[in-house]
Amino acid sequence: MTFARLTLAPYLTTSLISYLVKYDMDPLSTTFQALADPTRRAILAQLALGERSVTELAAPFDMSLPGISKHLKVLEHAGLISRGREAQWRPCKIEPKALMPVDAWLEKYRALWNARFDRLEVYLRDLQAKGKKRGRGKK
Amino acid sequence: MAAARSESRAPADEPIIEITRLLDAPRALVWMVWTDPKHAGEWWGPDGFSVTTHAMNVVPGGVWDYVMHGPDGRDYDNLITFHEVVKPERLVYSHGEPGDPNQFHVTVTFTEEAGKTRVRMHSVFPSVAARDFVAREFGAVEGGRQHLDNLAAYLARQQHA
Repeated sequence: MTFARLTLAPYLTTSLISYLVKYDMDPLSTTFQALADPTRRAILAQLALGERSVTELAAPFDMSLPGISKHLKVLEHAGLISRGREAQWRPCKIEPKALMPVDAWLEKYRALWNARFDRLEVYLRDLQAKGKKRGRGKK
Repeated sequence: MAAARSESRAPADEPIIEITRLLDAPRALVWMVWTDPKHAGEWWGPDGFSVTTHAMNVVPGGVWDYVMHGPDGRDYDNLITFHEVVKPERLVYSHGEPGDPNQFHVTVTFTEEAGKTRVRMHSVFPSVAARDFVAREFGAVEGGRQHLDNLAAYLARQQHA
């Protein structure tokens, strides 16, 4: 398992990258694009407190209902929210599951650098220990 | 544990990842093991990998050209190009072949803190999408099949959303 923690995209071939870009197999990017907007993040913050109607969500913003609806569509497409089916109300609900992959990838990158810093720490300790021994030897 | 010793952040709307770590060694030594070809390959890893350095010249415009030998016998060519070298406090480099759209830029700063050294890695990706790609690909490999299964399930969920 350890070795698997290793491979970061720069070590992958460019062809694989362009393949994935070409065929749009990048759901995380969809999630991130959806999150990369302050209004949408504010909407999600509201929904974290409970279900809301579109009118309720629009209230804090100086924005038309169609404007808010556009943002909701982006969030819905990214799987970050779902809409109820009741004809009038259609309450919006946050889908925290969609955030898991985002959290997961950061964890992986962090793990790579943690492991690297761990090795660096051990290497530095060994170097310093050797230096001290050699210093004593001279005296 | 190790995870607690590093701090990291990756804002959703900025294509950066930042990781910091306080190392118990003087700054001059940390700089040396980072920039001297005799030392750099010894700890770079990842775990289970060995590194062969073809060339390392830590000056602006210089490169670190190295191969990582994986435990599965596969080799991974790597190229790092240095842009800024301010001994012993700052290194700026790009990782990846020139022209690679997923190439990313890293600024490493070394700060003295009471005899210890704080290292801060600030990685800037060409876009949020590229950063996510790097991390997701890495994640897909790490988690192996199980992760790919999750990814497939996630994709399926998205298509039905």
